[in-house]
Amino acid sequence: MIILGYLVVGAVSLALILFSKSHRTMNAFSILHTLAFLAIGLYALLTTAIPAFEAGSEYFYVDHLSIYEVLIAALLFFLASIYANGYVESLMQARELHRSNLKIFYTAFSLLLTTVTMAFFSDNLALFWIFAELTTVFSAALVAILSAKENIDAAFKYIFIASGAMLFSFIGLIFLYTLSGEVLGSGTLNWTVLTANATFLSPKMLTASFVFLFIGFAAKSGIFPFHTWLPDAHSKAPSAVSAILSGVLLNVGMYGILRMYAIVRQTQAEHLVSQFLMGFGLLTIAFAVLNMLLQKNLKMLIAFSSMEHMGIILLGIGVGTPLALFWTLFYVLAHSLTKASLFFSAGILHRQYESNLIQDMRDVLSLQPVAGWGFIIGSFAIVGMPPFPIFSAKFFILLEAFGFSKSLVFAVLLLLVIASAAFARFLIEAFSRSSKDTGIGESETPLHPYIVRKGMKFPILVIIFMILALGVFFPESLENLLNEIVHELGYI
Amino acid sequence: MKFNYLEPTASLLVSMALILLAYVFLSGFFNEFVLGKLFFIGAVIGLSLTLMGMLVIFSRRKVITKVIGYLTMENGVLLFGIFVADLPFIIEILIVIDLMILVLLTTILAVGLDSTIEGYHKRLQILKIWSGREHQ
Repeated sequence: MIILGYLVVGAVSLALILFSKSHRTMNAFSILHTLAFLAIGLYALLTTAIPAFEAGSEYFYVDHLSIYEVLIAALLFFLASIYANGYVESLMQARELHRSNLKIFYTAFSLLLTTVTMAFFSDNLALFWIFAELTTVFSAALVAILSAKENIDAAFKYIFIASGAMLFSFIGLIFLYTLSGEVLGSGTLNWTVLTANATFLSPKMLTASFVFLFIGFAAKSGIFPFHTWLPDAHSKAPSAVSAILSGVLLNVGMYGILRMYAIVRQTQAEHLVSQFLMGFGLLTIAFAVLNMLLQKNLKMLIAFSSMEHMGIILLGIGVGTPLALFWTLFYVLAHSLTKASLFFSAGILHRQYESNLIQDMRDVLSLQPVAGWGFIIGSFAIVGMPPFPIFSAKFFILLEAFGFSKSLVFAVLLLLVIASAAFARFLIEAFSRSSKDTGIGESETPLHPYIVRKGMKFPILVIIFMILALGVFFPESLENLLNEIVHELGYI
Repeated sequence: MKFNYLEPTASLLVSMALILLAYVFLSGFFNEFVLGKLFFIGAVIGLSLTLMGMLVIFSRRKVITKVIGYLTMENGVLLFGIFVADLPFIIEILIVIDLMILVLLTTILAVGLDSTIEGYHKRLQILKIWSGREHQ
């Protein structure tokens, strides 16, 4: 019933968007779409019995993990669609977005939400693969929507790298299918069946298929050797889309890796795969942080920071203790929210200066106080300052990682210090610059403040309020939900 | 410049090496499966075709050639799938639809990318695919 509800709501809102004429109605429908998805998710979480199979078949499965991810996705889409109202209007006014592309934008936006939701609810891993590929299609269309050459280049890079790597994970799926056929009589790709029978699977083959699957899912979430599309796509896309790419689509790959790890950790291959994941996590953090340090482009900085956080999440999955998993799941929520607020602020700043480069920014706090402070607070939150939720999540993940290796933890801590230094350097350089000091105020025309449109400040304020609240109080219902997920994945 | 890193002659040699690599890799695993000789050869061909497609994607500059490389990869994977396992019918159909949408999108975007920005917008307007219904 839940899946059916999601599909019906998705189809209806897609049709409404296709038939509506003005920007305002399209935006209203996409806000309604996201709100309905949030409502169905909450309804399913609170009233129905989960985990359960859906629609009478074995293809869809609703459990706490999938609902948790879907709720994060729907929340971010909701905030992004509110933000998009003013932001897209400004893009059209600046002639960066063509008016005839508006419908494509909202269609892809709505389809992306539906496919992401379906991907999270898929029990059959091949079905998950299919929906994950579709998310690449729609998000690449959203990256290319500005139809400037650099945007289309970024979209191409995204498609070729992400979906080319996903083809390798299809080979991994076929390995897994054959492997399960050897053991269970008839082949299956259902996650529930595979986890129940994981102990019978041959560890060597399982590792091989995990490595193949990892290639694709890692490419989708920007893990080190397959990350090259990420900075381009995230920084060239319109900011409302960048927030979704960072906050939702990276989670899709991580979700796949987490599900696979839950199968593998029951066999003897666990130790090898753990080390594998932690190694790639560390490499990703290192690479991202070194790129952040001297970064001159605001959105590139935020994009590389997403990569760094995916590395930490991968590390958390690799550590593999119940406590580490608990905090990794919390980390996903905290990272998604914080990253969205950063991208929303960066979008306003980009409208103000028509550029993301550090040397074009001056008088930030007097011209754009909300975006400026949003960015400052967001940076504090993203590097993991104490009152914010990322601090506690990082702290406990690293504490658990101590059990594995001390030098790993020290290396990560050192890299995190460099990441904070990168943000601090950027903040000091961009925000302390004023036109009076540099003396260009006289000769050049002074900048007029960009009038921030209705609805663009609201998401930033909401997110800052939410992350502060999450950092200070840890709601009991969230704790129960996360414990439930840890239990369902078979960790306790 | 049409090529990155590899000229055609060198890439032919690399492709042969890739077939060998796929053979060695798969023969390490396939003794655990009860599969016939034919299926094994099919799997080797599928895997090496995938790797060759990847080679085409990163050694060619033109986007349309990259799309062909992607199609090659896709063929290789589907071939591998057909020889090694028989997936449920609905899944196979969905995979093909999925890949078709992806290729459609890349082709739409590729129209005229290999030209300058001005020429690109002109070509888009003539073909009326992505944008530019305003001035004709």
